[in-house]
Amino acid sequence: MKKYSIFQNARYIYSKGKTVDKTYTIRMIIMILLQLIIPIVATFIPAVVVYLITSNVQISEFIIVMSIVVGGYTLFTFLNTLMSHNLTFDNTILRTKTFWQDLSNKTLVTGYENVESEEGKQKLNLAIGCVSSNWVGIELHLKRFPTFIVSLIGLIMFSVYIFSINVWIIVLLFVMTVINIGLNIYARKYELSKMDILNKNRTKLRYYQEESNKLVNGKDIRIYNLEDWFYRGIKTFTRKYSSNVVKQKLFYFLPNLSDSFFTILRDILAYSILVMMVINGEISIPEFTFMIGIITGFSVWLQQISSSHGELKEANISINNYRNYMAIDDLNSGNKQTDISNLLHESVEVKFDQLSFTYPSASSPTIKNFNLHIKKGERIAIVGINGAGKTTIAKLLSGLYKPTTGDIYIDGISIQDFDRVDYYKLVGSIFQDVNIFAFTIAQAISGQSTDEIDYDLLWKVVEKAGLKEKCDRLPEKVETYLTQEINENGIMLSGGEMQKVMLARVLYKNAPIVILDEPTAALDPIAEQELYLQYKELTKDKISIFISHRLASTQFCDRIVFVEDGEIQEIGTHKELLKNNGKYAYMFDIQSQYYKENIGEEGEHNEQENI
Amino acid sequence: MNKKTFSQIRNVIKMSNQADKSFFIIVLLRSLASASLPFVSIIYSALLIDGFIQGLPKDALMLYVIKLIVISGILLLLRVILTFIVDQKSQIINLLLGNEISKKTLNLDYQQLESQRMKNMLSSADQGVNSNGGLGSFVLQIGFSIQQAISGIYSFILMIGLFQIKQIGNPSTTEQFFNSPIVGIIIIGLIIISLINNFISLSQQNKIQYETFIHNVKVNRIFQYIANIAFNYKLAKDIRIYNMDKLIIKEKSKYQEKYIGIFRTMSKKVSKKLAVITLVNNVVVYVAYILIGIKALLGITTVGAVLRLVYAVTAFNTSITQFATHFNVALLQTKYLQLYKDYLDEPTEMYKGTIPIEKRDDNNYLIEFKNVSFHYPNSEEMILKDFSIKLTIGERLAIVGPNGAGKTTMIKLICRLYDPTKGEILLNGVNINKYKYEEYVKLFAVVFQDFKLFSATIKNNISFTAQETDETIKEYLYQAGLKDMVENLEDGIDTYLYTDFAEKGIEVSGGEAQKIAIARALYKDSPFVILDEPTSALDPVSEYEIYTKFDELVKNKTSIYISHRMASCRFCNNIIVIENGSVTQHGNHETLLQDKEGLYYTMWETQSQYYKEEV
Repeated sequence: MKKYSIFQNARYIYSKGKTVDKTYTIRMIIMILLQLIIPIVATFIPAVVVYLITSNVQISEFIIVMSIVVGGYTLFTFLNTLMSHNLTFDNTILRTKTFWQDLSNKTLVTGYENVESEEGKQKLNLAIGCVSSNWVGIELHLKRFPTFIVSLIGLIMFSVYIFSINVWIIVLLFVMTVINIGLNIYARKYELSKMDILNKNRTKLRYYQEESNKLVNGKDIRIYNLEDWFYRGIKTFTRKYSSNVVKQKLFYFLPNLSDSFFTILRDILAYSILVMMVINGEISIPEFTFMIGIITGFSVWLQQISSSHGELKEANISINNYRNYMAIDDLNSGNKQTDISNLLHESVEVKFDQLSFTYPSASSPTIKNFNLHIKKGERIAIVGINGAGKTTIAKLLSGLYKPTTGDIYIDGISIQDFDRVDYYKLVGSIFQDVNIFAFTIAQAISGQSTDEIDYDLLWKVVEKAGLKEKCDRLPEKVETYLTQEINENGIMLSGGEMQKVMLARVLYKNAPIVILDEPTAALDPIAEQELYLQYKELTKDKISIFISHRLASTQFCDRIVFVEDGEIQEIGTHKELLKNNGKYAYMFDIQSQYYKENIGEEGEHNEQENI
Repeated sequence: MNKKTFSQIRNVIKMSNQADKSFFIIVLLRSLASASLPFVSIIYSALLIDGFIQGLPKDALMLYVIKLIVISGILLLLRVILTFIVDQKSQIINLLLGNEISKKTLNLDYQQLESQRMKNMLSSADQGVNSNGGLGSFVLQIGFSIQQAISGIYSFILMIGLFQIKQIGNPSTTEQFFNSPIVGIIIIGLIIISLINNFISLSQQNKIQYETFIHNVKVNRIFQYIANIAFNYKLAKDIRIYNMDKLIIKEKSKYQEKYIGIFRTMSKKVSKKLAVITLVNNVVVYVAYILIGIKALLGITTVGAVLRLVYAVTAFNTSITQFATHFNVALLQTKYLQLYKDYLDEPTEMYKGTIPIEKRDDNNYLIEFKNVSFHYPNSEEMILKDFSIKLTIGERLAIVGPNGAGKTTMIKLICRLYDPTKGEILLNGVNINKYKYEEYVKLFAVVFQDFKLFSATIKNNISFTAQETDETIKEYLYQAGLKDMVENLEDGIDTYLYTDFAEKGIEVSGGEAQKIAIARALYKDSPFVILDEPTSALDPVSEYEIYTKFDELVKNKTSIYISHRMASCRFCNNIIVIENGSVTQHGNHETLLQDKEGLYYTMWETQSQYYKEEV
């Protein structure tokens, strides 16, 4: 993982300042200058007053000088308030419009494995943590970096001035600074070393808190009396987390404590030296006022440096996470520039060649030496027990995963030669989990924005999928929103209707390869039957893969592939495989025996022998 | 500000004291220390300067220095120590409120939990506690406003010096003017004008912010929704295969532009108001310097007094404004925290019953639905209509019917997750709501369609109290068909599910999860076992195992089985067909098949046609 320093990250972030507007950087610099001048003028004013009065100037002269000094101060503070408030807002824009946007745009298209793998999810979560609020990562940096710069310059300026008054005071202040920084670093180190355990306890507590608030858990909690289990968890982890927090704060208490001791020492030293100097006539009373102001001001800078530096460090960890995520290879570009337009509307053939696939975190392959040649227009069913690798094959053919070894050829072209985003255009799928996007029905079916949708085609597929009647009844027709997330007039579709939307989506896309992964698991028999009948229509002139536990569905397919442990065990037509009396036949038998007219004892025995 | 606001504030302070007795008082002490500190140094600095001018002896000057250092030193240490305590407490106190919310949710009636109203109340309470800084921040704000109030009192006392009049022999008109209370009155007048300006600006600013917030709630929510689509890995397949990225980006930008536009307008308005406040405040300081400075030039007052008085004027002006700001924020937070309190105070509605359940070794329990009608609270559509059935002991009952017919709803009613809208459900002849609720639910072990397992060990998922021996728990797991899986795990039944609590936690497949849920239901050993689509995620082999073992699994219990797999009806001696919320057919497999017009026949035929010998 690459680590960038605070200044490197500042450059990275401010280089994108232009997205807010052209004047962003200039305004930022002016604000920094104002914030440097204001405290100096503020210290200067009382000294000027003391000077003017002790030197008995004319009233008119007094008024003129004061008008200039206080007038200037007023102008500076006025501008500073105006600018810093607007800049705070611009920081939010910069974060959301640039950094958040970039992150979400990348996530929308990056290789599927980057978002699906545990590692990818973690990296993404860390990156989101950098842009998710005003007080983290990018925006925290934007808030604190100017403060840090201002205090640093201020501290140096004040040091030089104090040095000219008395060496001992600056030595003391220097020691104070060093100890403050040292203790803060120490506290930070401690915090980092315990961060993991703190976060873990916090996450665990949050798990208990959130799970008890979730509706989906409500039934099981009540039926299985799980309330006590939650109480216990909440109690235990509140205790653990609290004691972690106390320890952590203790370490930050130390530099603060040291600072206050040094402040007392500083006061003793500064006041006694300066008072003596006044008594001895070495400095004037106005100088005394100004010097006391500057010496006290030194601590303010120091405090600001130490707190803003701490926060910048914290932001930096998060920003580095963000930059590392942004630097992940999207894995989207193909080995060659392959034009897919020729393949889009024709029937193709697919060849799995010695295909193997191992999940990044797994030790053994999920798919092993998978060889299959799917001819033009052929319907293939893939069956097998849970965990046999059926869905993985579907995902490989969808282009969502890249083969570990071996290859898939589409009309003789290796899948790796396509640009991935292009390749997706070749595939239409229905997955087991139905995901609802809260867009309009038309948008959900087409995946396009309203001005791009081909409405003739859309209505045609809506009719084919059996949704026309439903859509006609809706006042907004296909422009009706799904769910009420975006539009209050949005509607909820039933499970069966959603299934039809999924079907319409495949029809609209009209891609040469169709993949259906257990689309019927939650359907009642009649809806299931409907889907089977539509299946033929859906896959006309296309290559299709149907994955299902309902072996009835396989009978619509030209060939059936029985998969076990990622390998093809049997292959053939339904009849062939039944005749074969192998594993497929066994599976079909146990599923069908309850559907036969009589549940015979012999039947059961037969199957037992087949195991 | 009326009585109600104060009682609300008092309530919230009470809330804080309940969560942590010492938090509020420590914050108050810190306010006192913080407010006093700057005054100590300004008073002694002024004394020193006057001392210089008057030519006081070294000892007298040093005494000032010592007093200054000792008093401010003590206050400084006090502040640092109190801040340390406040910091930890403010971080923890919000957690405690979050805990209370969770505990409350656990105790809600299920139908409350599912109602839109409670969902909103829960999310408001949650937001009230978390998003706006919550109770910790409220107490801190109250602390700040008290600090400002103390500071205001100090400066007010110092400002009395404005009205001090010196005896001058033969004063000129100028001297007479500056030696009169008029200077004080002018300055106080200006402070009042500036305060009025500040308050008007602040209230306008609050109004603008509130209006923007209200105006933006919807846009913000939609924007968040669309923006989060990208980060939901479950949607990643669909986005890629259906090339939805452009649609999502376009929609997101649309709402983002709206969002930014609204906030930009607000930000411009607010920053102008803030700048004007700064301007007016500085004018007051300027006038104070000039008037009191001239007094000093005329010898009516001392240089030290100028510094002290101008400081007092500035401090008074800012502390009153700051007091109002912090107090306002605190007030706003009381509203949010009120949402929390409302949630905790919401009574549970369901009648929890008093009659104990008769313990019966023979499990002789009879449940009867008598003309039950039911609709969900948020809709008028009747899910069950005049629904009547009897569930006799030891019976295997299968419920079939199309999606949305009311099968799962019926289960929810049996378990008293909901009460019927009309009609009644009887247990051994007595309305079920008369029984003690805690005892009543013990009668049922249910595997819901959308069952949940939790991030705990497999053992704890079966028995959350874990009083049984491992062997007993294993037995149930083996019965549910998990022998192979459990034996292959390094830590056996002590393996964690999911990775929330243990890095070595495992992800189970839908089928395995379903089996664990079945084991959990069996372990509960209730007289009624209800399985709602228990095999939908299982492959044919596992499904077969569950079917064949079903008798053994449920033993002499009454079981209800909901499934789209018509095959499962074969081993149930009683089948009911539900259509549109009513029982349309009732009987066993053979009798139901004879009714060729009935839905059962159609469903059976559509599904079984593919399994007959010859297709």
